[in-house]
Formats: sequence, C-alpha cells, structure tokens
Amino acid sequence: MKKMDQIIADYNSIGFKSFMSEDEKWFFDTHGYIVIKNVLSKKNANYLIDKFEEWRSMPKKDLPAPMTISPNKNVFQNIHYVEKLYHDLIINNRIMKYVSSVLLHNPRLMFTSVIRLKKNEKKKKNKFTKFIQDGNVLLHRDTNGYNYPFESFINPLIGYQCINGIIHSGYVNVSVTLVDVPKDHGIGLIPGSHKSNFNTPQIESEDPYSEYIQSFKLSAGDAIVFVPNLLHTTRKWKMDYSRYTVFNRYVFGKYVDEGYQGHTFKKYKKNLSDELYEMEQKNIHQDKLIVKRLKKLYLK
Amino acid sequence: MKLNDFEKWYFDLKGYFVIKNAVSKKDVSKMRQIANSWFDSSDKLPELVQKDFSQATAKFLYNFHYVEKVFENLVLNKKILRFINGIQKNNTRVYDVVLAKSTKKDFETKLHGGFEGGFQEPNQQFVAANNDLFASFVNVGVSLVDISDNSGFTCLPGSHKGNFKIPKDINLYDGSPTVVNVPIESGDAIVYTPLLRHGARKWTENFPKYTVFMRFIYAKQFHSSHSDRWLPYEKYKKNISQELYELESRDQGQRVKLETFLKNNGIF
Repeated sequence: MKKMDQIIADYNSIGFKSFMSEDEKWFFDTHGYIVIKNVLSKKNANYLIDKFEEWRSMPKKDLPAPMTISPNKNVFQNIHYVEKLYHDLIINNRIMKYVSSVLLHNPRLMFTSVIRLKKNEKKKKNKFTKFIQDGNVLLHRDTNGYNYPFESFINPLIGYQCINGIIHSGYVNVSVTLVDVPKDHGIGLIPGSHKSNFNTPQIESEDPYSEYIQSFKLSAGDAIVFVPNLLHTTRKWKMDYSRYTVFNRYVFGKYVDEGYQGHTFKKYKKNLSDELYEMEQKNIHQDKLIVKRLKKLYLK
Repeated sequence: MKLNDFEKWYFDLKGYFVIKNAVSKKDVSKMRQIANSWFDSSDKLPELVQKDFSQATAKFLYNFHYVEKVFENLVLNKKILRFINGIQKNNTRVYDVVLAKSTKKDFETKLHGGFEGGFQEPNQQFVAANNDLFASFVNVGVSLVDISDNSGFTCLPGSHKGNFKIPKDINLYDGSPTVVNVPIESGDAIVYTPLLRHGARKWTENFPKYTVFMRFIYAKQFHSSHSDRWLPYEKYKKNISQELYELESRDQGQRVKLETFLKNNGIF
C-alpha cells in the first residue's frame, strides 16, 4: 500500500467543549435565542441611563473620545472606552458563556452601541427609516450586506449551523435592556426561523404579531442572546418612558472586515482591559485571554 | 400538486400545519352522530369494525371507513390529500385510520417523538432540498368537535429538526414558545410529522372528544413495523372504492384508478 501525499487537516473543532449545558444547547438550537436574566442590577441600569442623558446634553465636541453620537442623538457607540460598566457588560461571564460557545471559542467584538427610543418620536428621514413601518421595525434577518439566492444558504460569515452537536453562527447579537420591557414591546422574533429551509413568504394573518412573534416581558438588566439569522423585529414602543437598549454584536474571530470600519482604537487602548482590547482584534492563533478565563470558569 | 410557498415555509418551521375547514360541518356532524352511536353501543358494532378500549388515553375503533361512506370520503378528502401528496411527492399511502374517543375520565397523551440529531430513520425522515420538502411519514388528525383552549393537540414546534437531547423536564402543560397548544375547530385537520414531539392535553369538557387519525407513508416504502391492522382490509375490499383500495396499497405501479382520481381532482 502506498500513502497519498496529502494534508490531513487539524480540525479545530475536534474536542470542542461548549460552555452551554445540554438543555441550553437544545433550547438555543431549537429557538435561536436565549434570555439571561439580570446581567445588570437595576441600580446600574439606571446609572447608565443617567450617563446617556448626561452625554446627550453635552456639546458634541465635549464628548469623551472615541465615543460617537448619531445625528439624532439617540445612539452612542464606543461607550465601553469611556464607561467601565459598559466595558464590564461586554465581557460579562454569563453573556460570554453563550457568545464564546457559539463562536467556537474565538469571539471578537464587532461593535457596541446604546440606543434610546421614545414613544411617537418623530424621526428625520435617513437610510434606516424605510425599515420601520407603523413604529415596528420590519421583520428581517441581519445580513452582512449580501443576500444569497436563497435564505437557506448558510452564509459562511454569519449563518447558523449545527454539526455533530456543535452550534456555530458567525454573528451573535446581544441586547441588554436598561428599562423594564412589557410584553409586545422591544425585541420580537420567530423562534426556529434561524433553521428555515425556505425563503420567508409574505406572512398574512388576522393578527400576525400575536400569531407568529415571540416577544418578552423583561426587567431592566435582562439580556437576550440571539443569532442574526433568526427572523426578528423591534416592536413599536408605546410606553411613556423611553426605551434604552445596549446592543452588542460579536463575530467569529476570523471574520474578515469586509467594509465595516473597525471599532477598535489603538490610541485609546489604555482605556480597556487587555482582555477586552484583545477581544476586539481579529483571531490570534491561541485562545484569547477571555476564553482562557471562561474555560477556567465553565470547564472545571 | 406542490405545496405553496407559505405551506412549505410553515411546515418546515413548525413541523405541523392546520388545514382549516378541511371537512364540511355537515359531514362532521354526521360523523359525530355515527361515532356517538357506535361508542354508545359498542357491543353491537358492525362485524368488520374492530375496537380497542384498553388504552388509558382514549377508546379506539378501526375499519369504520369500510362501513360508512362519510368516513371513506374523509380518507379521500381532497384538501387533506393535496397537502399530503405535496409532502410525499404525489405518492402517498394511507395505512392506518383510527376513530378515537376521549372523555374527561381519560388520561392525557404524554409527549413523544422529537428528533435529537444524527441519522434520520428512513421510514420517518423529514428533508428539504431543491426548494421543496419531503416527509416519508405524516400523521393527520381531524377533529369532529371544537377543541377548547388549552386542551387537545400540543407540540414542541421545531422539534422535528432538533440536534440535541430534548430536556426531560419539558411537559405537556409548559408554555410557548417551547410548548404550544394548537387551537382547532371541528372539521380542521392537523398535519404533522411524527418527528415532531407531540401529545394531547387532558380533555376536560363534559362532551366527548372525537378525532379521526390517519397515518400516511411514502407509497413505495415497506412498513417499519408489523401489525395485523395495517390496511387494506382485503377481506372487505369490496366495501370501498377502487381508488381508496389503491390509496391503502403499496405502490407497485398498479395504482391507476387512484392516479385518475387524483388527476381529476387537481391533486396529482
């Protein structure tokens, strides 16, 4: 017998150990999301709301760098460089348990933002307003700017897949609410739609939201981790108080930047812990610091 | 006839589909009346009707569609056959037809089924390819009564495509999105893959619940288990139409009358 000259690949996932329990894997695989209660205390959530309003009242030129504010003053980004609570929230153990597992223990923070939404707030027309109808964000999947011919294609950069008991999605979204969210407000999604084999048809029903959409009664400080291939929406905000939401996206560490501007700032590196700054960087050929820490915590 | 885009999307997403008003209220009423009389005087059942009253969840009758035309028509129902034929690629076979009666004295049907990853059993597979889907085994339940809220057919949507062991602590009375109780009115049909984890909540009304269950398999396949009950009932084949007899028979290229029936009704 002669042996073929060939490369025998050293597959990274052999021996992969998720931090999620078997029941959690079943839930996440079946529904495409998981709710984590109380990742922030009510007191800290209120503190972040106060900070939001404090920054909002400041002249733009006085905002601490590298934080940025949107033209309508409702979205701040790079907040973790200036506020420790945001920094700690991004690397929160209970959140990163799922994020790291779904990203095959190669997580990278793509961006973080905090968003304010007020009832009946008039919005100036911009490139995003076409995605809102009657106050509801149109039901959608997140994309990286390219739609494959069929939705069931697994986009190698962001799509969901589960092979041999290992769950992977190239993007993971995390939404943390800073206020109490009544049911039928906030994030709504269609459980299981991340594994659809067909294009989404026009959904028609007497009451499509109650028939198809899963929404959540949340307390300030609760988080939802979900895969962006899940059909989701943001429901119209009808409460008298404003909605404040922290929205973080994590990506697989080998993700190519393909057009989006990096959200890491070498100049302000000292504002972050080594662990978080490293997590903002593309893949390194060893476990990142955060993964080493999580392995000690969850793989005892 | 193929399923439309919405039907495919929904069945793939949930593992079941409800065909509203599959059977007319008039036929439902007639079937319920007959069912009442059979179960009320079960010692005087027509000779070929078999019974099993030993189960804790319901009492069952078999072969009744060989006796009453309205039940034969139900098995050949066009709305149901169109859907099943769409799933089983124009080659379906009905091999089991059951009339079930549940009362408030009966127990719930515990959750069973559910796919937990790995290889699929060919006799019960669910697959999607080429913008279409296929399930080699499909169950249908037609209710002859209005089902009150929080009772009757209950399932774990999406569990037909699971990749992990189903948690043991999930029960029939948990809430959505994990466990869903499907609202049904008389004459509606639920079509589902047995890969879906499903059961039935306890019946709590004073009137009995009557359901006709039908099991369909891909007509070229063999049975995965043996039973004397599997159709057709050769001894009484003259009691039913040739197209129904063929629908109950394995496809060996001989089901000409059935094909004509399906074509004439826009199902093939």
